[in-house]
Amino acid sequence: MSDEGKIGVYLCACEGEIEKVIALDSLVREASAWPGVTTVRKDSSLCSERGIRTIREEVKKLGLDRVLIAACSASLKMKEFSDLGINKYLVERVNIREQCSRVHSDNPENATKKAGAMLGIFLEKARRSKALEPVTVPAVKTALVVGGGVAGINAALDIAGTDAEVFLVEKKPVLGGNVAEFHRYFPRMCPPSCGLELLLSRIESAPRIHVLTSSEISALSGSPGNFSVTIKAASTGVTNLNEQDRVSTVKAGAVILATGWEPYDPTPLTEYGYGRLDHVITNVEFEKRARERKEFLREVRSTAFIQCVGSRDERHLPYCSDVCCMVSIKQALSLKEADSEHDVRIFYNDIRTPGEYEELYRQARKSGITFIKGIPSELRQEAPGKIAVSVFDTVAGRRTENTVDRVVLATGMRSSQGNSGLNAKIGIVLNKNNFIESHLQCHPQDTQRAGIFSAGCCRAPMDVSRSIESAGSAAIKALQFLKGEITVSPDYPVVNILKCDHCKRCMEECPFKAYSLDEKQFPKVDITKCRACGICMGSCPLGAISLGELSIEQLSGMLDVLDKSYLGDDEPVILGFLCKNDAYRAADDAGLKGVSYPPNLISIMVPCSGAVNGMIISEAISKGVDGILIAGCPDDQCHYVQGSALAKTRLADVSNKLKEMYIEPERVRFVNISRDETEKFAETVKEYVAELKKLGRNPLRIQ
Amino acid sequence: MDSELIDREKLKCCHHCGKCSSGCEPNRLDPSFQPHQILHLIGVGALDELLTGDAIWKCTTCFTCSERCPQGIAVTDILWRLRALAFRSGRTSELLAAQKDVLLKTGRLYAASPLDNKKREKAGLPPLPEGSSLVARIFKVSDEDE
Amino acid sequence: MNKSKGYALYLGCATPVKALKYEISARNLAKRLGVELVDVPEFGCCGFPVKSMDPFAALLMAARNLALAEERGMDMIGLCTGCVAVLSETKESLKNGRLRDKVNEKLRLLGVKEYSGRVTVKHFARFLFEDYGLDAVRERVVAPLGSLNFGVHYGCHYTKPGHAHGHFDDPSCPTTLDELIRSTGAKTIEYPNKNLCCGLTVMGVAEDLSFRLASEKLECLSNRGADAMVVACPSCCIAYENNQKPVGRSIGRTFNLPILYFTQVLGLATGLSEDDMGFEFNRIAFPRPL
Repeated sequence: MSDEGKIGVYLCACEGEIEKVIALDSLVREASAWPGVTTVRKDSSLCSERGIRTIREEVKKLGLDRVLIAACSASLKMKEFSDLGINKYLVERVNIREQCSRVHSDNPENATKKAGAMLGIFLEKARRSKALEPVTVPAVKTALVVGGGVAGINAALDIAGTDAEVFLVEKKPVLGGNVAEFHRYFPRMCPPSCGLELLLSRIESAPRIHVLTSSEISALSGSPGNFSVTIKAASTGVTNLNEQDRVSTVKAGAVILATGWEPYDPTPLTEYGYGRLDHVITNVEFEKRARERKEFLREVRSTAFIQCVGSRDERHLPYCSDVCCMVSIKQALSLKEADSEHDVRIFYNDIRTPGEYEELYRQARKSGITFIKGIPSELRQEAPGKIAVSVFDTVAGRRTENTVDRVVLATGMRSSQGNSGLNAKIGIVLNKNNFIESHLQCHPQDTQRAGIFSAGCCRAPMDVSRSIESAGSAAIKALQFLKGEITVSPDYPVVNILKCDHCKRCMEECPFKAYSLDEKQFPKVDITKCRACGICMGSCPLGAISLGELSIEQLSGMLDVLDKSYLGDDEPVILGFLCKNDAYRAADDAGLKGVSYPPNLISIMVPCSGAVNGMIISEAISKGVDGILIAGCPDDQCHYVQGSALAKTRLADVSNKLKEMYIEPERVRFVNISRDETEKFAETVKEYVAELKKLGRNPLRIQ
Repeated sequence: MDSELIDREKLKCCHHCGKCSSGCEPNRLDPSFQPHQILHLIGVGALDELLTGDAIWKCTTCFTCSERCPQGIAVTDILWRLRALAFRSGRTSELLAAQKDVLLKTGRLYAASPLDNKKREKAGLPPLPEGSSLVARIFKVSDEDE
Repeated sequence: MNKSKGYALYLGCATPVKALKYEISARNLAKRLGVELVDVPEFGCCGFPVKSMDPFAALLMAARNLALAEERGMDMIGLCTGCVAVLSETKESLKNGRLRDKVNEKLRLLGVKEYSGRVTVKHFARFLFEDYGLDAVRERVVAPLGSLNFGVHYGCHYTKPGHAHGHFDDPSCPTTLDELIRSTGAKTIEYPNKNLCCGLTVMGVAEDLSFRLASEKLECLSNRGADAMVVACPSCCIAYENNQKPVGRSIGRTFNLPILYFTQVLGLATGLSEDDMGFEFNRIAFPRPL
């Protein structure tokens, strides 16, 4: 055991609930005898005002330098236990309720023994804790918005409403993006120029927005709060005989990517004759021509729209492009508005007009637009200026021949070239459809890089309304990096370069690319990019990396102190590493759900199952622990992208090591536990205990 | 009714956009033949109805549907599988039964008669075998443990 | 394609019995062009008709032919588009190792060496277009056919299924056969129902449907003054030539449209005699241009 310290141990009876199962008095007696323990007390309700006040007073009076709170799960009462008059990293929570009294109530004797063992190891952890303070990093109060379309413009304006500066970079010579060239917005059927003009004049008059058109990002380095962006401007002056690219560097605290979309080219769908037949155009071309000339809407008397051209198609764009149904309805209504006798037919598979957009669909039907449920197989030139559309009308149950003057192919949105460029230039992760990868449900505006956000169609096909909303949400998130300083919680990892052998595994496995090499080629973590998942800690074969609130030394010490036979000589002891997002919480739910499991398991919460280090596992086995259980989120739900998957693959290395030690590889196990899989967790523990009983006690255990 | 010959996974993805039927020539001339309807009927368990009907025999195997299906469903192959299922259970056209006979006896779809071989000889072409058990053997080998 | 030992000539079932003029003109054209076609008497039916009876047996029939060609170290040139489509698709399916193992097991029982996937199969016209080359064809033209105007019928299996043929031509808008024919100096007609199927495969069960399909193209090309329809498959030829009279009768019209194989057209241009082109078997006389 290390330097003893002056530790206050507080046991909560939880208004009697915990004390009914666990004999707190005996624990008080036991703990009083442990080195470094200055005071041990039980209390009926530690989290009450009185309880907190008492601890605070004792910390002051007795000069306590560590506090152990044995009570409910650390995920509860966080506010209450955050202000005890001592650095919060010197407060250790021991979960003797959710993971002890509530699940082992059928055997109070064993529950008490387990609680005692838990107290022992977390006391050792506390002894080795250090006081940590948040780190403040100065940051630049400038945002970079890449892309000057609807999303980019709105994001820039949203940010410039505060006191931050904004650089708005657009590769075309003008702002406005794709929709600037369009005829109408849906559902209000107003011209984009109206809204855009207002936005553009606001941009112009905003003193803190700097617009760089005909410019592109060529490189991005640095970290959140302090990105360094290289912008290349193409010289467009006619008088410049030498095309000199002008390069400038800008410092930005946050970056919002709004690189938008491109129309999908329907040429490969040769059956529709785009490019070969006259009068077959795309929906984007319709918009542009309708905007360019008023007469366009009246040039012909009949128009057919074909939906889902190239979208929802395995061979082209497998996804739905979201807007095409509304676009065709909007365009059809424009035709009817110009000439109510215009013969408009929409050939569709499904009509997707969610929410209030249904109104426009109804309006379209009322206006006499014909909707035929069936997708044509091909188009033919019937005569000059006439296209034959043969389609199976699935509702009428028969084939119909249509001859129209013009066909509009409702083609979809593909990710813009800009997106692939981003991936190549600045390492932004793209999903399988080449849009910016984000956690669509919970964090739609995040990319996998801290401080870099996405807005608009570069993330997924969406309409103007949603683009503007997404821009707002990206702006709000970005603002957290634009306050002039960034405060980083001290949970981030620290690398012990004395142990490092430059294998670079930490760098490779970090999902957020937070590592780089310093001048001496040692890994250095960018704390503003770090999400404190601990995957690096788990990756290091030499145990050189530790997290702020969980270190290799602490774990080592805990393994020394753990009573490997706290339930007696015949009962195996399992050490569990449960991920804080899913597995640990699922385990916490057991008591409430009336689910119980054997008391042979003591769990340690880790940020991610990927944080579990193979050296620690081997050490645990060699110190006599009978079994190790690692529990992480289901692979595709891991909050840190690849933690669970990594934990599993690393098990293979551990298995080999165990075999060398003549230890059964079954003594280390991984299980995926989702947030609500409490029963599965309990079953796993029961099964594991039974298996370990069959295997027998760890032969390396010192009797 | 056993139907393991049909790739059900891909089939489930059909949402009846009708593109197959829209480009189907037999459908144009005979609207009772609707490939997208056939796929739907398989999905809702009306396989028996399909195997006893005559619709499945109207496919000219032109592959237009398979080429253009947005879900990548091999519609033509499914039609073939349906026919094979019908054939297996004895529900088949006379023509096909006759064709199987010729194949089993001569190994050819079009038998080569002595007259045919005389014509070939006159034209300086090598003769054709007038009988062969090859196809019969192949059917036998294919049946074993199939 | 590998030409070291010549190309295995895959005749199929229809051509040698029902389309002698195709076989004759093909062999003689090949000779004229210096393409070595080798007979493989062990070849059997490609399996197309058996697909409607027993899919696995059909697969074995096709695979056996591929294995025979591979054993002889030759790639295959086929005359019937149906055969070529089936053989090509089989080659694609047999890229699946598990299926290939199963098939090879059966091939062994049939006394055939196992197939490892190294045979290329092409239709003769595709071969001439892609491998032999249009320039080489043009060099052999001695009697340019500038005065002739042909309606080219691709049929369905020449370009489809696309993945089996390596997407060498666009099924919606094919051009390779037209280009081959035009390399003789002849003109080809762009007509609306170029992609129309000949309908022969349903003749046994839905003759009416088959006839109607055939009549549409015969009408179209006759109306546009085509000197002949050019085909590349014996089944299509049966549909348009052998059936021309009954098809005409069914719609109350008398057709007189010569149906020629592309090999006969190329034969004309490269100076083959009428005998060598099997012209005696033309059911509708095609007057040789002066």
